[in-house]
Amino acid sequence: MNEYLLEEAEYMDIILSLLQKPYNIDSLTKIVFISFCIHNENDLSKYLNRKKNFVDTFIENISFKLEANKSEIVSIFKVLDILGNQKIIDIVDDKIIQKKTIEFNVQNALIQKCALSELNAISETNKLDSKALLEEVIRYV
Amino acid sequence: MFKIDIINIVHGQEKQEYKLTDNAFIYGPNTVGKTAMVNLIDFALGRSEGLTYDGLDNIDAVEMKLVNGKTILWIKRTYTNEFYYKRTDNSDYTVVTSEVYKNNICNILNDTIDTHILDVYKTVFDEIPSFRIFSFINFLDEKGAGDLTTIFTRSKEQKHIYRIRNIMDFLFNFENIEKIYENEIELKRISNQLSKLNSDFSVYMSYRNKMLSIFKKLDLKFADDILIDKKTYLDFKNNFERKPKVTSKDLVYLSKASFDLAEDIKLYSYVNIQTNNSVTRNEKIQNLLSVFKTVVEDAPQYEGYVNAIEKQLEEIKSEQLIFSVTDYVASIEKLKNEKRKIDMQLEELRSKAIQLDYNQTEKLLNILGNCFEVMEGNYDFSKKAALEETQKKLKAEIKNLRNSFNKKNVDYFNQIINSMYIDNKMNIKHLNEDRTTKEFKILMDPLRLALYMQKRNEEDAVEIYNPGSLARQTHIQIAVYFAIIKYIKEKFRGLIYMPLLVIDSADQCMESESAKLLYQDIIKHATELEIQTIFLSKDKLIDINSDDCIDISLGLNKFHKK
Repeated sequence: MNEYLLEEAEYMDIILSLLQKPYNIDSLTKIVFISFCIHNENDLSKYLNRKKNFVDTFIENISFKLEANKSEIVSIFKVLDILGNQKIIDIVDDKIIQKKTIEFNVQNALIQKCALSELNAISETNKLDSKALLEEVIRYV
Repeated sequence: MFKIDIINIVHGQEKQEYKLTDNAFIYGPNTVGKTAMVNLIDFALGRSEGLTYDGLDNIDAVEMKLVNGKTILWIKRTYTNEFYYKRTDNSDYTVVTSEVYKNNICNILNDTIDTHILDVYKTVFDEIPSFRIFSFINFLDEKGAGDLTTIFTRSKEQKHIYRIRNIMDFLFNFENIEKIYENEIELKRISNQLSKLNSDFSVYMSYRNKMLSIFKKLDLKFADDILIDKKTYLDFKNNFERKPKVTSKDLVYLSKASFDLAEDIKLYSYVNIQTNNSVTRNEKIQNLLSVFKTVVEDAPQYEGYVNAIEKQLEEIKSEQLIFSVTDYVASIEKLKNEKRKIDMQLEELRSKAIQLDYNQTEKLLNILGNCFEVMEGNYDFSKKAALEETQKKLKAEIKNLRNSFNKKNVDYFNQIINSMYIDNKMNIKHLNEDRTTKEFKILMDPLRLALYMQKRNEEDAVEIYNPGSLARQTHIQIAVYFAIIKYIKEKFRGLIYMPLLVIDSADQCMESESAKLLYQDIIKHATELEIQTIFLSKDKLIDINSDDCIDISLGLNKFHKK
């Protein structure tokens, strides 16, 4: 079995969720970094503590992990490529145009948890535009 | 020739007398008091420590008769550190201070004192050069004998360390020391002048500041030029009219400007911090870009996606460049200067706003008049800067001179040591070895007060080495003691030193034949240099003049309680 198959499947799950409601993310940059952060989030209890804001907690996942798991970026691109080939999305520069919607049951724990509350880490991060998100990402590279 | 003629150990009315010749040879087995004798002599000659050496108990005082061929001097130092002297055998002792006691000894040592040399030493090292400062050349102690890393056995003692360094400076760097002396005198003169000028300057400045404050109160223009300010003062005094300032703005405008500038300074300071942060930020952007570059290398088919992200990153990076090209520090400084100017104008306007009554103004004018009177006195500050420059140069020159030994003098001293050590016909094993060593030389390092040897080795290269054999080392050390006395005698005739060499048990490490030969050599050098020697030994050497011998086998101090 392709060693990245499971990873790609996980990313497919995440990216499809992000493309659809309530997030409707239409930026390539945002999809790449937000999906990376979601995939690398393994401690959901952090979000119970409101001493630190959601965005910082969420984007902190970039720290060190991006450098160490560059292959995950390739997986993200591959998923996007598949979606593009399947005419589900169209990517022009940084812009993602959704062509079709797909119904599916999201598996990712963080996205599931976020679905329970309107005020959550993903939606808060999604409020940033792509440049602002990059600014945040840079802080943790 | 100077010598210690008699040493008396006094206990109550009793005395134990030791009569010394020019080359006294004191002998006796271990623990009878040979080293105690060295202590006794040093004590009577005025050392700072008391009489505490083991075996010197029950002694009330030590007396010494010093002679120099022309005159005699009796000195006596009691156990309780009272000092006495007398000029004839039959007169009574006079009690004196330790300084007078030492001065009297100085007088008998040298009647041709060179006051110039003494003055130079005194000025440069801030110490009166009595015979006591050279006492380290008078004693070759048993402890330290043969140690060539410390030429003089007493130079390890704390009280001598600094002083001996000074003396070496003085002896081997005298030409420079003389120059230092002249420079020190010049420096002192300049410092005195400067100190007078500085005190005048501070008085002048205090009046000037007082004047500035009154000018402000009266809203007069202060030019910081005594002639212009005096004119302003006199004009005002005559007609009580003040010339309006050309660009004076109103109080509200200036207050607002000052406030705005304060806000600008705050903003610029914040931006400055941001700019500094942006430097590390740029590095981080670079890191992120390199991550994507690697991704493209691994999967070139996704270059399009990467380009889209990189494009945004480049945009952010270029936006930040705007921050980093601005010199905010300079801008903040400019703003601050501007604010200072405006604040000064504000201050002036405020003082203008305060009403001055006639009496108050008259009072201030009187004070101003007084200030002008003082400030118009004889103040010559043009000299101040020039003097300060000269002072700085002199200090640098003195420092430089202090650190450079005259090689010619050191070479001459080495020549004396080598000649004393090797130029003789003694048949001693270590000496024969050194004579056959190619280009053997003893060299002294006056800075470290250490000796080292030099030879040409088998590869025909010059080699520095430390010689073996305690007998050789002790022999070389004795040569150094004579050499330093010879050097002082030749080059510093006016200096007060004691022509005495007390050698404690230096023959212990030698065979009796070698010791005998060495002792004869010691006597030869001592006679040439007119030095009294007191040699202390465990054994009586053969062929020694019986008049010179003092047997202390039964104990040095007969009053000692065993």
